[in-house]
Amino acid sequence: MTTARIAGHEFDLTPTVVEAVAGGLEPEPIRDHYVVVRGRRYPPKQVLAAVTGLDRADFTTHQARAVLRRLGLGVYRRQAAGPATTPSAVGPHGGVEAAMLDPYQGRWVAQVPGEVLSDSDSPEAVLVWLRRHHLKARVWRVPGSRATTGSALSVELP
Amino acid sequence: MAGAGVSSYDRLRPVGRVALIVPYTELPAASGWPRPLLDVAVAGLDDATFSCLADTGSVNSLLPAWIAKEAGLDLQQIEARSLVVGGATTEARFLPVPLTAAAYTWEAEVGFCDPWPYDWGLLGQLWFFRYFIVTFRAADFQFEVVPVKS
Repeated sequence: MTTARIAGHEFDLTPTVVEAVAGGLEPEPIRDHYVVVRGRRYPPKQVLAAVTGLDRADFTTHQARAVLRRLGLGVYRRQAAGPATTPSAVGPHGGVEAAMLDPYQGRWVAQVPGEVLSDSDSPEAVLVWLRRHHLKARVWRVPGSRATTGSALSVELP
Repeated sequence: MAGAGVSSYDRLRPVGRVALIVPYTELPAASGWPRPLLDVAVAGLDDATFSCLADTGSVNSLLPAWIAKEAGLDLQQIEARSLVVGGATTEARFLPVPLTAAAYTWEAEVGFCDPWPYDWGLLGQLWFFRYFIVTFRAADFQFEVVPVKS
């Protein structure tokens, strides 16, 4: 457990609580920093605001990053080195893209070069997220198994 | 070095005036080898592109039916045709629709399918390969797309 003093209030936080709260959040677009919770990326202030109930104006990104890092969560800067991966070296990006997509297996994602912006159970939800944030991206479902990697002999039935 | 020919992470970049060089899409290890996916925009759906496999084994170009709905296309009055795709049966409703990949737009008769259990759409012989010369360079994990001369 970590005790954090933020905006004059004290909070007793655990990684389990943060994971549970973050699990109910729809990740907002990442600006400069992000925290990884159960394989998904969130703005640190979004997570800390949800966990503490504080207004985001009550604390800084720096504070949010520090608190989340003390809880053992991975906090990173966008476009810098992300979570440690073990790229397979197979592919045009040396396995980096595959490692990035790995947590999203079976999920619909909005992807731009180098990052996944959003993910959901349904493509419609991903489109809603893109429209809400005025973003454009490639939408597809990251395969969870070879069974859905449709390659076809497409044949018309009589 | 594998992929040495891909100088940037851009998914689709024009080369000169006509050719597009597209890196294969890497997949999680459980899903196998990188695949030649081309990101295609459907007219009327401006928020996103949808990934499609450049699939020489497919006669038709096929997309999931939800894309038609999101693009504002009405499939209600179109007769459904039964297809077997990758061993699964689906109902396809074919409709001419402009598709765009990077700088190129062409009209394709796309089969919008329901159900569609696959992770991406398919660009097949009739409405993709007939309009583009596609060269696969699997050793370099990239493919090149060049419009045929009209």
